[in-house]
Amino acid sequence: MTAIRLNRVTFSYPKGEMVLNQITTDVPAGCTVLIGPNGAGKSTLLRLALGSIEPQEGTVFIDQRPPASYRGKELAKRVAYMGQTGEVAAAFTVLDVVRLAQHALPNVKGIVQEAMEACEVSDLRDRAYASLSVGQRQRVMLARLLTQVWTVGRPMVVLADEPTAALDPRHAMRVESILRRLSDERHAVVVAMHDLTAARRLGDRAIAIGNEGTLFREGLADEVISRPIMEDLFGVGFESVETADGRRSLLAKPL
Amino acid sequence: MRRVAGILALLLACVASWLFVVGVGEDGIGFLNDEFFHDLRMDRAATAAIVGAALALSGMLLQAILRNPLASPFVLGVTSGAGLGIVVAAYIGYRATGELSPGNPSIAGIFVGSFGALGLVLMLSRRRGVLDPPTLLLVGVMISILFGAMASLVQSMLKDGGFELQGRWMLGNIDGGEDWIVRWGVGGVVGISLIVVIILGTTLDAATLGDDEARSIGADLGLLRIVVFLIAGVLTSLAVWLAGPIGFIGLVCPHAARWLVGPKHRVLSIATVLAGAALLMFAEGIEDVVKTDSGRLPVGVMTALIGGPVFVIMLRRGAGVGGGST
Repeated sequence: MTAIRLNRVTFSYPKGEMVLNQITTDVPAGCTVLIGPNGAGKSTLLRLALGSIEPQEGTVFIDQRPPASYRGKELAKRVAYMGQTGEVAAAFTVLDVVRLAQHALPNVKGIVQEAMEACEVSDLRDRAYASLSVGQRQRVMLARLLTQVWTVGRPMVVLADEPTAALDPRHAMRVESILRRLSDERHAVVVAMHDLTAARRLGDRAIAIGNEGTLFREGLADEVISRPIMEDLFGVGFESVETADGRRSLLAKPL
Repeated sequence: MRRVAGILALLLACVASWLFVVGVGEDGIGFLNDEFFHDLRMDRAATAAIVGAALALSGMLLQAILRNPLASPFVLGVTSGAGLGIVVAAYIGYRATGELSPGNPSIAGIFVGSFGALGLVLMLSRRRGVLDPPTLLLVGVMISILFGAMASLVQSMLKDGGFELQGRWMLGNIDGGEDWIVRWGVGGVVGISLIVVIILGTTLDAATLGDDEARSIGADLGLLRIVVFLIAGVLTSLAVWLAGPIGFIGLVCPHAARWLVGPKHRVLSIATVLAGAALLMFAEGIEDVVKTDSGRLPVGVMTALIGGPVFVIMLRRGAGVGGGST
């Protein structure tokens, strides 16, 4: 079943260059990884799916309606989003930030604690959010997102923008397993990321966005994240290495 | 527990400031026997409390919705806009009738000036369709200076250089001379605004996340921004109507309140209103004690002298300024 449908979507910011150009794709339940060079439009595509911005041309649909048409609780029940910056403009504690997930939803007890434990931030619950490292903040934001998803309790669209960018390997693997679990629970998980090995490990499907904001390639993650396609996409050589578990990992060659 | 203690401390501060205004003057300590002067002090205390509460709540709302701890009606040029509105309206009246009525400012002029300044600052601070916080502050300060200069220019075209307007409408002053119905009418608006803000409290909490995150958890920031800017503009306009442009209350009081009760907006809004009332009553009390050769000091001077150092101290201690510690 299609969770997000994009049809000939074109978007540019005011007085800016075109960011996305005629993107047409269907995103089903499961995990879809978004890959592409810096500035290709991955974050913009996530914001279009959230409905924060609307395309100049084309349409985006979630549940037969443009995401921008959903308001308040209606949206909170359909789309969960985690951005790159994780900024909070108030001196909230970690627990306060995670609890914000239930702002428009019922305050189901136990879920906040469960989400914090899953993201290994329970011991930070009374710390000031502003005092955390970037990696710790990412885990807190993931706990907030998980709280929202588990409170809703039915399949929804989950959007995460580089959720492992600042994490150490152990916590990166932890976050991957959480996203994988959401995917297995039939949520439509869309993750923008640069780590191609992780993307290949995590994604059922992959969407590659090219430099001009065009749809470069889409399909099964193992097929899209392959050496020749990635070399074309990023303009750098890759070495394909077999890992201990029999999977193939791509390592960028020095320029 | 911390929140209850903070609210109680601020209530005590309000009572102490009220006693200070009503019971202390240049003649010493004690309630005045002269009924007229006693009532005048009572009226000034009430006006100061209402104006302080209005400016503080307005500042808290602007800081929350703009996610900027330095935002306030004064810094963003809203009070300067209202001041300019008063002077321009006075000039139009002066040209039409040949008379100046400094005790009766144009409420329409104030509203046009304050909302005009707010709209201009918000419009000029957008980059790629998004409010840019550093630009917002710089544009706000520039608009404040520009509108202040324009007000001086218009004022210089009035009779006697608009001297009669100078004390109150350019620097801010509380004389308690307005009708009680006007004073308590504004008080009612402040009360209703506080109730609306308490209702919106959890949405204001959600708005401290980025726009996108806030949207995803169900906070409708579009509607919230309209309501918040409307309330902030109305409160500032009414405060200027009663007392002229007074700075620092809207900047310092939300921070002081945050320091005492934490960042959650439901409790914070109550604490901010109490802090604003206490601080402006206290400033008004000092003004009554300290006499200069030229008469009473404008209360705006007192608030700046008190608020400036307090703000610097709080900034250095990281006292609840956005992104700081609890």
